[in-house]
Amino acid sequence: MPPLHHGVAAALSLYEYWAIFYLFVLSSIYFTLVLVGFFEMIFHRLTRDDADENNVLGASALVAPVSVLAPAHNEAATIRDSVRALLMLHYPEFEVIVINDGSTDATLKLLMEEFHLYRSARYYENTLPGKPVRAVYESMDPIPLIVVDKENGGKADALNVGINVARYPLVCAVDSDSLLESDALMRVARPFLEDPKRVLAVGGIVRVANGCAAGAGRILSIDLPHSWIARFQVVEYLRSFLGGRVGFSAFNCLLVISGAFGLFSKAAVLAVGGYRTSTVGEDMELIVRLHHWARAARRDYRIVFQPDPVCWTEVPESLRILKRQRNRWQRGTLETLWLHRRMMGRPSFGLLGLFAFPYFLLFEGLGPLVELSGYVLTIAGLCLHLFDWRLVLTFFTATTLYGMILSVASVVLEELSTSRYPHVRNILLLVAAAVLENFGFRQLLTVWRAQAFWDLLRGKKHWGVMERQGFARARA
Amino acid sequence: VTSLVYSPHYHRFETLLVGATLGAYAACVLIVANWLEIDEPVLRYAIAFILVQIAIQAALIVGLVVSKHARSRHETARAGRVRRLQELLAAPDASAEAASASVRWPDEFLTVAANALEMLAGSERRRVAGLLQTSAPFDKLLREAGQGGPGRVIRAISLLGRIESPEARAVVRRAVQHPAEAVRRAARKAVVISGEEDARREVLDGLCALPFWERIILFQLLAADPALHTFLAEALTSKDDERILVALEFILTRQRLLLVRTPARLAQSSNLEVRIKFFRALPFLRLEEDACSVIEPGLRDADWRVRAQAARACGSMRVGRLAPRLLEMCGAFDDPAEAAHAARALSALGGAGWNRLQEVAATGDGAGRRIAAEVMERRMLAGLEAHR
Repeated sequence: MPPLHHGVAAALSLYEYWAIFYLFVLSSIYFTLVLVGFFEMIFHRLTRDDADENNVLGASALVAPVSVLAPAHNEAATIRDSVRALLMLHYPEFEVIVINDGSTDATLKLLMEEFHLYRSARYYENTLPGKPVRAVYESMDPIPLIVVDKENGGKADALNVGINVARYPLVCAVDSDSLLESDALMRVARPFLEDPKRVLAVGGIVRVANGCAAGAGRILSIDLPHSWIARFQVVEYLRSFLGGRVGFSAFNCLLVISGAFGLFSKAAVLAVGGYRTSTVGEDMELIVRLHHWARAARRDYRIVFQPDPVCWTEVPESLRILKRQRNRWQRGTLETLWLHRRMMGRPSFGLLGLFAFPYFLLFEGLGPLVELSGYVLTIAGLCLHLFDWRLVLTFFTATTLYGMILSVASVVLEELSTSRYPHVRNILLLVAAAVLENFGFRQLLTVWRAQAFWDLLRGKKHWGVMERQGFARARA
Repeated sequence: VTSLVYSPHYHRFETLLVGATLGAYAACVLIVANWLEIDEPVLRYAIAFILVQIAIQAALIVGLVVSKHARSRHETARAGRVRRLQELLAAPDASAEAASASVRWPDEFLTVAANALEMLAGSERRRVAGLLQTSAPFDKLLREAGQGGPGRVIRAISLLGRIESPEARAVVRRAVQHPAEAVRRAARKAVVISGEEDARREVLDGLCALPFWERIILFQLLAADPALHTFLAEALTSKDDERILVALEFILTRQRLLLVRTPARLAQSSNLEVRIKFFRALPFLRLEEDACSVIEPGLRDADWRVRAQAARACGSMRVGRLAPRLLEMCGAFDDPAEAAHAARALSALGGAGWNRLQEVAATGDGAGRRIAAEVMERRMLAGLEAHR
């Protein structure tokens, strides 16, 4: 073998070991987080999960009122059900603010007809910058609904305008294509009640509505989706929320609260200047900025994840739309990490700077590149007979099994926490999805997420279109 | 295990538990690697790792499926038993049958009895309570409340708290001193719902030390009786701001007219929070003094939040004599929230205030005009709604 060939083989082999080590460390961190999530969940279930207490609190005038913000852009398929679901929330005092972000479909018309809107003289101040508001509408019926019609400026811009119009001290950002369970607002507001001085933001769990039967703005019966792509996402969501976020929240290192469902202190959001409109990952960016702001001011604060307030959302069932969504999420993560790179490795930011931020950069941000290059070099090495295929197969099996155990553990956490899936068949399908996602789906996501690097370097900023089927489809 | 979860030191144990689980996992891999006869160490550990993974996954999957299946069957069977017990409890002449069923299915019987006691009132409630007290599970319940793990104690006192028997009340009262906070919380709730007067008094005296959210829950559950009135009267006349705030919070939670006399000096308390809550609660308070003299200093308070709440009280209590001051506040529009409250009060008072609002809406500029327009619009829509 010529010396050059030896050199290439040694380098490839070294990189291969590094990629395997990397995947092993990533899985170990995740495993630890799942374990923390497991013990936290038991604690939560035994000491905090009290529906009677929530009912009692729900009747008190002293519970802080909430402005629910639902930005909507071309959401004609789901908007009526979603708004109806929001209006049926069980909470002492709240208002629902739908921000029509320059929709070109019938979103506004449907809202006006359904909820008898009139053009209101509601007073608000433009504290946060945003695109011009065309009109503010309120309902003639005795329901706390406000619809803001504004020029298109993106989700972050719409949320900023919603915060301007909001009157209450807590603001809840929800996706207008999602359905909140009736007690979700009470449950998500609980940390604000228990620790009003320290809590800045609370996130709830987002679950997959595909396959469930919905009606009158409610999820009527729960089932798994029919397509495997959506089933894989069910497992992914469980892993991410019940494993990852519960664990990060326990260390006050939560860097993401889903844009689909999060409750914020309005004062804190105003203090940091609202949502950043120049990023596609505005939800993560706001949370990181809140951390940054609070830690820099040496403030004693908490950003919390609650595992029981449930928001149901429709996930993409077509690969084309899923690719767009994951590309956007990855770009959002990378942009946020870049914008707040000063927090990286800084002891003054505590565990956030020393653990959470490096974890997100190395494993969530750069992860797809490392994983993809690992796959490519392994295949190349095997083709060139530079690696022992038995060793490669062994390591591939080990890392795949480690990934699987996390997914299966997340299904266990689901059973421990809310146990929403009623049948043994559901559990078997979830376990099957947890196994099968490692053979093709995971690799596909890696390729798409790696592609996001290229798109980010090219300066791609747009969101892409998420086509909604509407919850009515779930009834069929 | 549940005792550990309810312990105040759980979060410290949690770190240990996570570490121990990870340690056990690593130990399993090492043991299996030692047992394997493969010369290449990297390959040996990798295969050991795979074997441990497969074993854990198989155990998790089998456990998950078996437990789900068992739970589904158990729940179906339990639902049937609960239905049967509900039928028996609903029939007054089936007491003997219900008593024998309670021996066979004690857990289900207690669940049904707890639901019935929560929903029923009057003679039916007394009948179910009597049935429960003479049933076999009642003794078990008393024992559990005294010696069981925290989870069982909570369940027991939640049920015992609804029964007017001396032994049940004694057990609940003892639970207020339980080492686990969750049990103490459940016991406090049980005491305020139907405890003896001195036990309720003890809980009321300790309200200031409780977190805000727990106070709110207790406020909602408290029954209006002489003990509560005495507590509120003493709290409102005390010099302790914490106690005053607790009393005002109670009034704000219940939103009902209070018959206890409230000293007007609270309007000028040095504590900002007391002033804010006092003016917010003012429409529900009984004052000896003239409302105008009490509200007036509030409208001139240094803090805008006090001024806003005083303006709101002015509108609710229809104190027309203060309209000129409200007009001043509305005219300045220094703070939109304060001005909005003043404008709403003017709108509620009508007369000259209403005319002034119209004037501002027609000729004013900026925030003042927009606030006035919104308040007028709301007033007119409220009229329309009443007409409809």
